[in-house]
Amino acid sequence: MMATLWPVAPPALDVLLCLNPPASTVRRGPVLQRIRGMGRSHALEKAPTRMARIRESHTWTDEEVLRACREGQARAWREIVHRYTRLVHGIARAMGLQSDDADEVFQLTFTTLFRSLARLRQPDRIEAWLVTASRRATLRLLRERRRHLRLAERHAASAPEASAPPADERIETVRERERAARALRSLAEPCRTLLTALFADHRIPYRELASRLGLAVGSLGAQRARCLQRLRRRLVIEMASERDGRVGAPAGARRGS
Amino acid sequence: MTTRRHLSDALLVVLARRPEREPRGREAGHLEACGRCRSLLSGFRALRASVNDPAPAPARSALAAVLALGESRPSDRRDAPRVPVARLVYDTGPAQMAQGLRAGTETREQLWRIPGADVDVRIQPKGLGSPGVMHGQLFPLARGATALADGGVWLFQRGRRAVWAPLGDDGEFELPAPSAQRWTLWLEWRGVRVRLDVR
Repeated sequence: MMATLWPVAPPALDVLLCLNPPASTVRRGPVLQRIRGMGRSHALEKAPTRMARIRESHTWTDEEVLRACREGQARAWREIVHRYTRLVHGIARAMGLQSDDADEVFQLTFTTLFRSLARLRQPDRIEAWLVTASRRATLRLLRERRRHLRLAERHAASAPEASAPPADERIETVRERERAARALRSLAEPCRTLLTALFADHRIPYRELASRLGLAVGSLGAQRARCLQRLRRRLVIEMASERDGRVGAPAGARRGS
Repeated sequence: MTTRRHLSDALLVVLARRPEREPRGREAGHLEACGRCRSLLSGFRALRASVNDPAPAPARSALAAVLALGESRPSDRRDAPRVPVARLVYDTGPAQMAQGLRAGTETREQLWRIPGADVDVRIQPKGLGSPGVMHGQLFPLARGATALADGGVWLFQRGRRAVWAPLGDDGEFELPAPSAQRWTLWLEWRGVRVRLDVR
């Protein structure tokens, strides 16, 4: 068995540069050592698809990413899912579901979203849409669970009540946390790592952080201040979108869920 | 500091990181009057909570099922000529054969190189009590590279259905072990598509 070796189109310059990394050592275990001269250098180029032309995901607005999704771009769908995974799952958990049931709500909500992509009237309100859809899916699941428990003649008090307060406060906490986390995730490196270290309770020594990021220890303070400014701007944007999101109800969510 | 001037980022971070540190005097007065600083403080507090106690993620299988909704299966024959082939750097298969070991019973490891990253593949063949599994992981060559999860892998085998798996947060993926002699992985990562071809 061997790898196929045949020439393809000439490589782009940046790709060629990627093909000449510094020789490194063992990655994982003693087996995977790099052996010079094995195999042949191939012409690797960026795929000539429109995906290659998509901007970096962290610059996408919800509206743009949704438009790309409607055009059938798999990368855009991945972006939406990664952006809102913890929000949807977190809401289900905040409303009292166990992990397995929360997974079910997560799948159901995103499947509904996928089917409703073409019909969403307010693409910039996708977060509000998902919150409504996941809440409804969770309530429906809670009702089903309660019915099953009744059938089994179990004690009703042990079952979560669908009519109980919808844990609005907890949902709002989840939303707020996710909004902040999203603002952080939208930053590029080294800001993401620097700010994660800044807000973490567990302190990472400056020297270790600098070495991890490939920065000089003396430059960390100034870099962090710049990163904080960027984070502040992102948070302001998130807060503005939250205010806008409260104005309109997600009609698609009501229909779809 | 006057009550008109916004609180500095550094002060907001301190207030967010140390709940026991109450805003004093002018700080408290400003926070009461300024919605922007109040919101930012609340955002920083939420971020601290999120960093230290991240929300649980869904199961890997659930996430994979949702991500798979957006994937359209590429045509192996039609698209193959346009997709470049990755470079195989190391493969334990031939080495095992040279040593007289039966490759079918041994874990096989490969190292591939694609633009901007290396890909480790470890194949545990089907055996007693094991359905056979292929684990892989992508290692970016650039320091601090992000968005490892931005991609997926298709496994093509002749006469079998193509299978897809997403890249995880650490660039890892898991697929069933290929049972055919010839198989191909199509790896897509950050808009780049590459073939890992084994014959």
